[in-house]
Amino acid sequence: MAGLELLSDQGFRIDGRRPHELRKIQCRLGVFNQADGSAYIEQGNTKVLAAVYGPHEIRGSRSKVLHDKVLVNCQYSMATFSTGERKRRPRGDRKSQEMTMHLQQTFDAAIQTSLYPRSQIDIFVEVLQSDGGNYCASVNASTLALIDAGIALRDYVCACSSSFVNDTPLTDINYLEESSGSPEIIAATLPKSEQIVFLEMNGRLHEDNLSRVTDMAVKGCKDIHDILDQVVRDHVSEVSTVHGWEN
Amino acid sequence: MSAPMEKVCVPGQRICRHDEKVVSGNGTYTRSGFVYASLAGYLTTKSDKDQVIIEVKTDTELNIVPTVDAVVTTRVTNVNPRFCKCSILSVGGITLKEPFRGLIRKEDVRATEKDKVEMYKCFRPGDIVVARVVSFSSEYRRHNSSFLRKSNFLTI
Repeated sequence: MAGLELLSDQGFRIDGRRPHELRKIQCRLGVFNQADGSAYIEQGNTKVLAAVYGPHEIRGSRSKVLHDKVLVNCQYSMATFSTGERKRRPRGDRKSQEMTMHLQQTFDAAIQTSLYPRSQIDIFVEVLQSDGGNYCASVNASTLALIDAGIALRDYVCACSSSFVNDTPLTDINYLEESSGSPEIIAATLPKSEQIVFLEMNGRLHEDNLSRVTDMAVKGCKDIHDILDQVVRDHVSEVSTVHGWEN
Repeated sequence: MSAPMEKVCVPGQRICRHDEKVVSGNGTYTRSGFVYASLAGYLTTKSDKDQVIIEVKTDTELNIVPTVDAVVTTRVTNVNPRFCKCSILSVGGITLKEPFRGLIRKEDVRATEKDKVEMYKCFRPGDIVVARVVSFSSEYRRHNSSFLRKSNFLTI
């Protein structure tokens, strides 16, 4: 690897982090008035907005109605200015469609779907700036938005990626590390119950190392959970003081 | 009756052990012998006879969906000889942010002399009807409608 060292001899990554360190996470709940729930998250330079509408009556085709559970409808889109090269189509291309499907499956597992039969929950995700880990940031933002909307969840869903460089697992990889050709594992978990709801791997990784890298991603999810948890608790107590709801 | 406790709960948080004296109410669920929170809000407990109901209350009004047996307030939008269409405005006293569609069938208007009901004499568009949700149609032509039985009926 000429010129670009993903992990220096001193054990630092390109952006100065240690292998097990996450990027800085900043987030806010309730950024829109119009939506039932919304959230904004920054994970390093990756910035994502999520808005949740519903549960409401199913729009469009009647055939989509599920009689025993809610229909989770997601839309993932990337702003045209989100990547280094300007994007032509913000949504509807193969990558976005795949991402939409993945988000839908993830939240189908986390939302208590049987509580809202014959209705629909919409999750709209917009990536404003992309620096790797788009899926992870989208999942984390959507979780916060769902909590803001007051939709019953089994648990938080937290997602984190990890990679494997120089015999060391790296957590929460950025765009440079993602595009360097090293393997990538993306995991979304329910951190309290330690269940994995989504797992994806890109690139080649020896089987012997798989569990180490997966563990790193799951550990990252737990770290993210701690951060999100604090934000939600602060938000709940802040909102209730504004409403004079306490005591 | 209710003693509010100053405790913030978040989804997935374990609240207590689930036994016959503990009932999980709104915003909670039970899994493998424990009660967990499913909403972010404040923990409240209510005692009902010798049982304790555990609920998580949020500070915002939640979106709710009509359920079977719920009492709903509707406005009639369309009347024809077999049924009338209406939009459900509130469920059990909670106003919906946007209406759900419902259907009052001719057979469901009253309990006796069902075949003598004349829809045009019962309903006019714009009427406010308090009704109980009888069922969710699955095989009926309009799949997304709930059947309503009129329990009380006001004209405005």
